[in-house]
Amino acid sequence: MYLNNLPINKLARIKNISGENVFIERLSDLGVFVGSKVKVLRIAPLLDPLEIKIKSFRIAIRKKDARYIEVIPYD
Amino acid sequence: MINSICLIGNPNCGKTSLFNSLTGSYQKTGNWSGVTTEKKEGFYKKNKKIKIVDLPGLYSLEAKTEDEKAVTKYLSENKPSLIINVLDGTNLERNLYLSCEIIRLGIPVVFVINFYDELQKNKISINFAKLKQLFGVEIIPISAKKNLNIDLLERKMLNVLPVNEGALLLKESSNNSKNIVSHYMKDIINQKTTKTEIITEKLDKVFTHKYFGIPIFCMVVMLTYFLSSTVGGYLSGYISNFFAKFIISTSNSMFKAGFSPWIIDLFTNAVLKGVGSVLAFTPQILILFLLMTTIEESGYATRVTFILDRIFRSFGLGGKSVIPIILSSGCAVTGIMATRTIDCPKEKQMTVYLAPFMPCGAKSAVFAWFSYVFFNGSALVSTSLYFIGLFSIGLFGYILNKTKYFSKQTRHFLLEMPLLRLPSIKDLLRVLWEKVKDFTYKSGTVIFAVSVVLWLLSNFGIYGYTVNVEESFLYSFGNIIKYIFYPLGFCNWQSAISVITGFFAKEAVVETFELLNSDFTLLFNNKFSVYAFMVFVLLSPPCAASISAAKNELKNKKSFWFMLVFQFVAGYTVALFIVLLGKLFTLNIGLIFSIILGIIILSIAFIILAKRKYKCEKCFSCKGGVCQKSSKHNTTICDKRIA
Repeated sequence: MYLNNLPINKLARIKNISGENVFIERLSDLGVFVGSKVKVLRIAPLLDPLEIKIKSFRIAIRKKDARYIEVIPYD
Repeated sequence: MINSICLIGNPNCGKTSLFNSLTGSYQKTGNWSGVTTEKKEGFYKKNKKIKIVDLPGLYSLEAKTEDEKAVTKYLSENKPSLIINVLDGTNLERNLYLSCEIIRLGIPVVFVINFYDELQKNKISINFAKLKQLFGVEIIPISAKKNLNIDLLERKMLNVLPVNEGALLLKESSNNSKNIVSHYMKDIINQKTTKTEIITEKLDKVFTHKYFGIPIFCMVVMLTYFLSSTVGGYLSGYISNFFAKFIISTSNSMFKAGFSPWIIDLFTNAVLKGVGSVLAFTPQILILFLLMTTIEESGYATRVTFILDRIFRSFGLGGKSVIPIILSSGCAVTGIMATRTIDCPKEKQMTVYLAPFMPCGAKSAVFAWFSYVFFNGSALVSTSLYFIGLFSIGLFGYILNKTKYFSKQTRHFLLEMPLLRLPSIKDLLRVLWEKVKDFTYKSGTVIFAVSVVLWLLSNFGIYGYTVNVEESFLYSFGNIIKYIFYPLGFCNWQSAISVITGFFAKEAVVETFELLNSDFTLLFNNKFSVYAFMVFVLLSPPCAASISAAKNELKNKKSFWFMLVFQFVAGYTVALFIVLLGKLFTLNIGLIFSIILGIIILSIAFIILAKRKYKCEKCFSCKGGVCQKSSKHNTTICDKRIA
């Protein structure tokens, strides 16, 4: 499953991140890397971007970019 | 001996607040990433020999954007004697990732944990011993806002030791450091949900609500202009009355003192009247800035970015362009400077072109004056112009994006959403004070100069000094260029001149009208022409200060000149559109109705544009998500849009 399809408020673990290197590095600087726990908090009124929560902070990410982040939801 | 200290940390962790308290200066702060876009230097207030440098916030020393590159360049060129690594205590783990890189620089470091008051309030404790063992540096918990432990930091920073080489992190390889930090995190801090977080969560539900989010934003803008035009307008009345009386009494006393008539005329009817007409708008601008600053400092501006990103993207502007645009509604210069956080050069260029379309404080003064003279002081005028600014950014962004030069794949967009916080009164007062100083300085220099030059040009002609304005240089000059504006319905020399003086400072438009005229209603064909004039002021090339800021950022002569032509054409076209719209509606329906209608039409158009979905060229089955037909889906194909 990819981050853009993760239901709201469901906790998941990041399995893999693909895409450009700059993108992966930037995410990693922000604390988003393989193994982090992630949760989608909400979707913006116009259906994009998403607000996700990683550890104790939130970031906005577009669906287009969230598609590169593979996650495994916790049961 | 310590002679230079630099502040490094993640964006929005309070470096500038700390810089302000260490140096006693008043740099702009704000609750979002990237308020500081270029390094600021100051001197330690208790020892002027120590230089303190506030660097732009960054997440990693491997620079990606221009403002981050400035940091790494500074560090390698100027080896400071001490680095103060500012950490946001409410977000410690992420902030420590950067610290892992900083302790490897070979420069003495001290850690400062900001927002400590908030941690204490929420009973979150930090294991300082453990942290010290891990990083090998001195750690001081502070609160830059509440001035907590600043004295302790001041004592300690003057004799700091180099990073302890026995630090756990230095023994491990740098690639592994993030994992090590994550591993030790539960020993370092007992992370709990803070009160601010809970409040933010609740407020965000409202601010970014599915249906109410966007209407709330519109209401916030409307309320901002409403308060500034009613409360500010009321106070402005007192100032203009004061100046009116002051002018009469001064001219009387000067007459009695035996000054020659032309000196009296120059001093009272040019200088005092001109400067007074602009100063009268001080309350309005101050209230506008107060509210804009509240929006910025509280963190609401990031929410605006969040809800509007989808719209801006369909015009080819990335999420990072939204912040400069919102900043421009205070002052275009700060907006243009903020484009440095944009990593894509062409997107940056486009933002520099478009951001000045927002009504800045000075333009708002012009609109307030027009609204007062022509529209019974309605706040709807300024509000509608705010949205016209936004729509023009969309429209021209869309057009620019269609050109071969600008068309590009949109880059990724990641924006940190800060916690919502009440802005501190201290910061708000600081902003107000800066604005008052700035405004009076402007009145004393540019506005004063424009007054004198206008007086000279309107009182001298080819036959020398004249009282008849029709023989003056100004009159003949204005009469030549006025024909440019014939289609817009304000073909007269006064408005032509005001467009030119507006180039020096937008407030000078008001000044010019006040100085050159008595009956304003004769100048414009109808209210639509008045509105068209305002739109032209809004969109045409901004003031000299913004233009030079833009020139600095563009660094390329061709694109700079293109900007000037582009903005002129944009202003002219939209103004023309308003006039044509007026021709359709003047017969029976009022101005406001047609503006609302125009806005509705434009928004429908934009919603249709925004609704276009990503589709995979190969199978057309993915709806903005991952291709549903093939698991081996090729993302580059899916990024292409099909209209």
